[in-house]
Amino acid sequence: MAADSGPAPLPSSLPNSLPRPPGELEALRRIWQPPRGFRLVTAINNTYIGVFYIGTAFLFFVLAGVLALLMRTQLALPENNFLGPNVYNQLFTMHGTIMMFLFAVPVVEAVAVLLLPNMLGARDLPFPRLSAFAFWAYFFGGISFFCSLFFGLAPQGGWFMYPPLTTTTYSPGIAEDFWLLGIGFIEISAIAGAVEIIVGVLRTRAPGMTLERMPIFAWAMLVFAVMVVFAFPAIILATALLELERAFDWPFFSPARGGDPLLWQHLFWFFGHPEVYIIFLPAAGMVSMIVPTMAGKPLVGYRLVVLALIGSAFLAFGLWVHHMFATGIPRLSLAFFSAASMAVAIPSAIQVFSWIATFAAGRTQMKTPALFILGFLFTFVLGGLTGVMVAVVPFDWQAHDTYFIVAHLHYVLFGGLVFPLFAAFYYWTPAVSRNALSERVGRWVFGLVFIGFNVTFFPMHVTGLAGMPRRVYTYAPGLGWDTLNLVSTLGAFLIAAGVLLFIVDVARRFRLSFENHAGNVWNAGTLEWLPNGYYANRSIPIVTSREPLWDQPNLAKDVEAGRYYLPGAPTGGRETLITSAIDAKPQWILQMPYYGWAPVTAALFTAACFLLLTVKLIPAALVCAVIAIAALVHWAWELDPGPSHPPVPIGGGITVPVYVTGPSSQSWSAMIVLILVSGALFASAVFSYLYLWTVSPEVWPPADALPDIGYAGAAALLLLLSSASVAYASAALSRDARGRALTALAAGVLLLVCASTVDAYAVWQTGLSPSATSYGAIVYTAFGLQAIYVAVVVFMAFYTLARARAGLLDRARRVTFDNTMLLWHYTVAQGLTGLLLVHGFPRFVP
Amino acid sequence: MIVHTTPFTRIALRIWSGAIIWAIHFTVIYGFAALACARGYADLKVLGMSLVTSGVLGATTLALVAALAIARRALRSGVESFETWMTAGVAGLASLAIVWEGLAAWFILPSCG
Repeated sequence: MAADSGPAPLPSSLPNSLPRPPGELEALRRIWQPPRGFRLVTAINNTYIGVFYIGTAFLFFVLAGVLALLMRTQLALPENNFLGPNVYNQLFTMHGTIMMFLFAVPVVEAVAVLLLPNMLGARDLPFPRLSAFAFWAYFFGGISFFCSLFFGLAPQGGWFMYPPLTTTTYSPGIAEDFWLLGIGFIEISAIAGAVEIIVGVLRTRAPGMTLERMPIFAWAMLVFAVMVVFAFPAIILATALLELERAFDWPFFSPARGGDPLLWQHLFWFFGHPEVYIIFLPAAGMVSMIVPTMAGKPLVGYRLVVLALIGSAFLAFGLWVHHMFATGIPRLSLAFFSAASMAVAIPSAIQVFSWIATFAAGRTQMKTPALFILGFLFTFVLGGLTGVMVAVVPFDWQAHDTYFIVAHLHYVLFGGLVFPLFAAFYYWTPAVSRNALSERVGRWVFGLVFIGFNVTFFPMHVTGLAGMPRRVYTYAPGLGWDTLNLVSTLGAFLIAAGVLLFIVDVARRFRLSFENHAGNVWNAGTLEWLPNGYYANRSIPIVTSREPLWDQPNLAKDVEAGRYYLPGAPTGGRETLITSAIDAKPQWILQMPYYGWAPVTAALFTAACFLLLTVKLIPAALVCAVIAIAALVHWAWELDPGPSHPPVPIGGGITVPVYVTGPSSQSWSAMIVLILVSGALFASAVFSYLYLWTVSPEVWPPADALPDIGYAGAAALLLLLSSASVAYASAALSRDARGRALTALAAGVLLLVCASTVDAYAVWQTGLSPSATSYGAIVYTAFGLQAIYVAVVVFMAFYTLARARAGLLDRARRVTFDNTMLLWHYTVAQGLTGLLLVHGFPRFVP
Repeated sequence: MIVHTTPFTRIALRIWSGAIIWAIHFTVIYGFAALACARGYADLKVLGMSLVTSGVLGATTLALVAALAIARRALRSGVESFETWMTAGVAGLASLAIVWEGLAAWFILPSCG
């Protein structure tokens, strides 16, 4: 096999010549200029959204940190009365929830939103309004969720919310509902971000940036986003099931009626363990960007590091039961997960050795980012080693739910994310600020955080082994825990001092600027360090290696002069170059939207809708839902501009179209990702059905109590006919037979609705109750999930018909139709699988 | 006209094929063991071993052969590309994980204890 390849040759002449036409740069500036004043909240430029996003995520980090300080103050002394048990329960629940859901995942998405376009050589991410929507949804949802603490409405069930503790029997009131609806909503925002990142990384790379030349951070974010697509639907389903049990008494988790609390644990940890890698891999990606710059050498073993990212991602999905070793699962099953937990150490170790080798190969600038990286290596490796310890089942049985686990998870998460993040803040600040952060202060920050962290958490290993359980609000003196706890508390305040000093440094030095930033102070080699403005790079470079700024002399000067691709705005609007996913060849120009109120309005009212649902103000929630949908429709109506502009030259003799349909379009790619998300959600529902059947087959009805199989057959036939009708509509639209296409689409709607009605009647006429047994609950859930998809597809069909009526749909301008068609076929496939499960499974598997 | 280049889906599936085999193997062995234990088939014997042990080892052998075949095919393709290297690498890593996880059935007895 070939070794890592060196730089490819550049074309003999650059794509565009000098001098550039007058006014070209000014036009670019004017087009990409964000709004001013209060209207800045309507900005959608990745730069502003990225900075808002990072700022908000850091705010949540600080707030959750304050909660941690309160907890540590309570635990400093035995039998302390600083906090009562109820408040303490709320604090540890909110601390974990905020750190995991409102800080860790959003902050890595935020860094990606800010940096990826520049790193890839794009003008922006492909769906900037989606990024804005995801951010504002997270902002409004997160702030509302945090404020529940001030009203005594914060949940007390711990960040993983295990039932039966979180069912209405033991947790009456609405605090847990806040968590369930809030977190479900925020996860939807994370998925929106993942769609953006996948399409962005695959389709907006600079020409020449093949998969092998992609910056490692882009690889890490691609892997991250794919993991989000497959992991997050499980928690969305889990939160929906628990909310259904709490609100309507559907017994998914109640053993007396065939449910099982362990179903929650399976679903939660199927999300929750990959979540650890979802957090860690982007951080590892940042480290893999910073280490080569600090060492002045390319990353050693680039291919192995990419392999490690992919390997960690897939093995991470085989680890979830290692959080459930103490639940009584058969030992052989535990052994599978124990083995997978050990196997995942291999890809992690590959990365660690790569970073060490890169440091060893170069002459390291021992600046603040490098210090934080070294702190990360020390801390994360210790956390990884205790991870292998708790992967050993007998050891885990001893350490489970003790402070040993608290120590381990903080070594992994704080070590694996927070240290790299501080390194990233110090490293990338000069790319977005007029000043770099202070080197002198940075060293103090590092010292305080590193020493504080180890003083806090290292003793917790011993506290745990000495038997102190986690989540106790106080303890008796004389158990051997007193001094250890006091030391941990002192360490926590040292960390706080470090974070405070960092905030002071940011306040003193950080001055946001995308046009006059401090620049490439580290002599880094990747594209985000090119000179840029609101429009990102003046021209889009040709990339011939992984560190183009090191290997392509004059690159920065030529890019800034406009000698590479797309130096202006040939369509007169915002645009970016779309390239092919594997080899990054220029394919077409994506016309991009301007700022507007729709994303922020849709996010605000979606968040309000969820909030009002929690407090059971249904009419007000419905009003908010209508406003949110109206904003989304307004937003969507401007999409799909059609072939409004002839193909444009981008330089180098290349002329590309400005509008495409079908599999080459960015919208098709996004819809495929959405279908994968939907498939993962449905697979989680199928797993839940099979799991409940495995634990409680006695509540499954005999074959003669099931609906007549004729109903299922009729529903299946109607579903297939509806798909065929839409396929016919697609073919008719291609022939420009618009009337036939729209008639077929309308017929498809009728057939789809009839299929759902037949299925609903089949289940209803048996008298099956969703609250009597877990069987009834899961059958109605499967039907409900399908009904939601049918409703969405019908809505999309009417929207498509409306656009046709407005003259916005024809054979050339058909992206809206294609989106509807793709989701339609998926909905039919999901419906057929659901019929097979609900009507077929109990008949064929007694 | 759009420049059509290397088909993404095919390449992506090829790179991920080892990981997909690992995922199928993991689902099968975990699901099979859980179901067999829950339904009381632990005492059935196949080839002198318990049903669970023989089933898991059989699935492991099949998955290993498939993953190694992918790695071998990539290595012998004669195409020296990043994608080919990654296909072989992912399949190799998946093979290690498959063996490591499947071996548990050999050592952990009784399977349903």
